[in-house]
Amino acid sequence: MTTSLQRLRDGKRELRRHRATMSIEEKVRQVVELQKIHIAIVGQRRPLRALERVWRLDKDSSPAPS
Amino acid sequence: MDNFEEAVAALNDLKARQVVAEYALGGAMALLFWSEPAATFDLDVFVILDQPGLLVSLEPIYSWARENGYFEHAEHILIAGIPVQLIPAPNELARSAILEAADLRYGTEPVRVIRPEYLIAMYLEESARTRKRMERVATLLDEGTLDRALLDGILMKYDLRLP
Repeated sequence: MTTSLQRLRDGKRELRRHRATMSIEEKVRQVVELQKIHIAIVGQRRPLRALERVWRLDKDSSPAPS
Repeated sequence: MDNFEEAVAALNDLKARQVVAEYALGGAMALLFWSEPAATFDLDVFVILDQPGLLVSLEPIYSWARENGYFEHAEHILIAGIPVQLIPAPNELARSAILEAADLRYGTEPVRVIRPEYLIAMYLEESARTRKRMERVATLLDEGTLDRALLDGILMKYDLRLP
């Protein structure tokens, strides 16, 4: 049991280390993926706030404010 | 150039046109440069406004935004679809954090980013302490890449303590 838990902790530490060493451009893309996850989960529990919108990183698709 | 790079370019323009004396990214998007990505929906930008007197006016910033076709959206300005909150430095700590910010790059654009030691200090201020920010402090401390002498000096200067 202890070994399994340790393996899980080690795996998580490795994942965090990997995420921390990604390029800044890749990290920004990850932020957008986190936004999508947040909206999918939180949007089922309460109305989304005006600010809670996924960024569009492709330049020609900037959304206008609603 | 993606939308985030366009937002950074706009911030550099804001400074080049002397609408602000200096700027630096703060919040979760600054954290990104020093640690793993965290969910956020806006870009916090701390600015120093070169204005005489005690009252600070954001009107020059809003005029610049209108001239460049950026929409105002509540307390944010939408730049390339990204909500940007421009926050005048509220105190000496924030002012130092902006002036001592790291000069980094995003794509082809130079970008100024608050250093992790200053981010920690700003999160530890009484008015800024939230559970989320304390988690960010823990994340930055775990990175093991901090300049500990710099952090200790900042904490001592502004009478702040790690949890």
